[in-house]
Amino acid sequence: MHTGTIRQILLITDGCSNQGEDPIKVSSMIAQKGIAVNVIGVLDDDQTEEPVGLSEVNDIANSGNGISRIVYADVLSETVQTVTRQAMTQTIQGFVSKELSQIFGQETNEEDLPPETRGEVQKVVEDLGETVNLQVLILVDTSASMQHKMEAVKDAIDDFILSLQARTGDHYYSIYQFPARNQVVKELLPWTNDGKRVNKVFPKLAAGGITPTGAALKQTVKAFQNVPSSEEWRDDSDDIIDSSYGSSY
Amino acid sequence: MTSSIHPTVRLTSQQRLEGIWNKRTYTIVRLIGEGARGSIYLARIGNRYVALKISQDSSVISAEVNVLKEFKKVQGPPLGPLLLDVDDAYISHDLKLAFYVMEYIDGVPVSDWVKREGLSWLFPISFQLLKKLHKIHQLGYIYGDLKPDNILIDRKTKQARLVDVGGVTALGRAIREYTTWFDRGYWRLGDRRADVTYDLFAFAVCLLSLDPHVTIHNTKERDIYKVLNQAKSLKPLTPILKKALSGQYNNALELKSELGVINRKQLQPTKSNRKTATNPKIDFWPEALGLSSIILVHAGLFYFLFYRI
Repeated sequence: MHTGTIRQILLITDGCSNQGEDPIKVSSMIAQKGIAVNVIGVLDDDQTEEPVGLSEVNDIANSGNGISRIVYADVLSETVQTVTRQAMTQTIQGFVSKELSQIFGQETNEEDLPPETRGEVQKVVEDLGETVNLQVLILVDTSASMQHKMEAVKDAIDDFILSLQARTGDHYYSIYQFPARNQVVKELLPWTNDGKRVNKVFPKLAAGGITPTGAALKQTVKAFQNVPSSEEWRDDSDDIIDSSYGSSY
Repeated sequence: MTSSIHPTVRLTSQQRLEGIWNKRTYTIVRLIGEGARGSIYLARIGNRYVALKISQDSSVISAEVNVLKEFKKVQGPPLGPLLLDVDDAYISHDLKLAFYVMEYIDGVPVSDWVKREGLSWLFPISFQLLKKLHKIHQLGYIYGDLKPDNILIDRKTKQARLVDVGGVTALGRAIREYTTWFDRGYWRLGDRRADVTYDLFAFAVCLLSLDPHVTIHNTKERDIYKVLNQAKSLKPLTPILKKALSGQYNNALELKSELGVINRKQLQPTKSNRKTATNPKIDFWPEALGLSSIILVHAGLFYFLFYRI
């Protein structure tokens, strides 16, 4: 059974972008390329649960076909895993819906099926979720206000790798920071599946001032072009899962 | 496509949910629980109270229903809440959501129960839980998200019940849902792949967290053995907990039988819980109580028959 690859960007930030391109627009462009944009907004301890400035977090994820969560730093680890998993399921479901409409003709959403059938579909989705290859680019906002949250971010990423390793399917991850000296984004770790490398990367993180979220997102898309298993995708396609996979149903 | 701060669903008291497929109507009473993946309401159908779980994400409902159906196949004390219905309903004129209905367990969270009734309750509760875990493992699953919040003590039967199946994972797969303090991955004592020892690790941390001396949420260092040292009230259990934390039990029953040995030696009440923790006498335990009453009745009958002859 040949399984395709799911591609995601995971943006960890604590506030609104204040420079450069509109991140909401950029993220919908990224979604067009078949890459989901997930966003986690990290709150300060004294912030309320629905601060005004962080609404951008939800908008970026919405237009990026991804999932968003706004959380306090202490639950960041759990959130990273949940968000990635849910976004992956969402992508697979999108694919399954396409398959369903091919089988039943016209528009068939999973929601239109009777609960019994939906349960069977769910099993297939879960099997795929476990076995599909996953490629996650982690983009960390290292602007000044994030400084005291870096320890939590490091822990969360460390923890996330542990969850990736538990899956049956292959995974690659890379880590980028923004802003960086003289550039919008900086690659901290190229694509790898080695969990031990996170620790070597993090001392390099130094927080800076501005938050050019849109521009940073745009830059990171390029990273998806030099992936180890590059033959698995076509550049201008919105097919996330290799179409050869669909024939097995 | 859902992406919101809380994937929870707001329903109001007296709101009626009409199932589209099975045509049953539920009247919402009140919210009884809220998780990361949905909301649970107390609801009424006819004269019966039920628990209704509803989510913005229909796959959450489908996944949990699949698990509850598996659990239903097993004989004996139920492994999870009993599944009663699965359906969709319009919660407003344009929003259709999936939900499922299960029995309503009128229970007390295990931590409140132990605080009120004493640490001696850890034994009967542990035995019941370990039996359930073993059956789940035999089915080919791992409970996953084992923590005190997911363990209720039924007010009537005084039996421990597992109430959330969101973490249930097929053996060998990546754990679906977990909570930091009960996850061995967090303590760097193993991976996050579903195996029997994963559940037994979480079980041991559950026991630790119920010790009044333990402040698990304030531990900065990721060293569960330091937490183990804090657990003064559970001193007699230390060797067993250590084994569970380091993954040395092959199955839940092995752990259960070793607990059974300590069972007779009893726990030492300490200063801080002397008031609440009654000295654990054997006749305090519901299981023992049931057993002794059965023996009494039989002895009585036997005596009666014997006397008549």
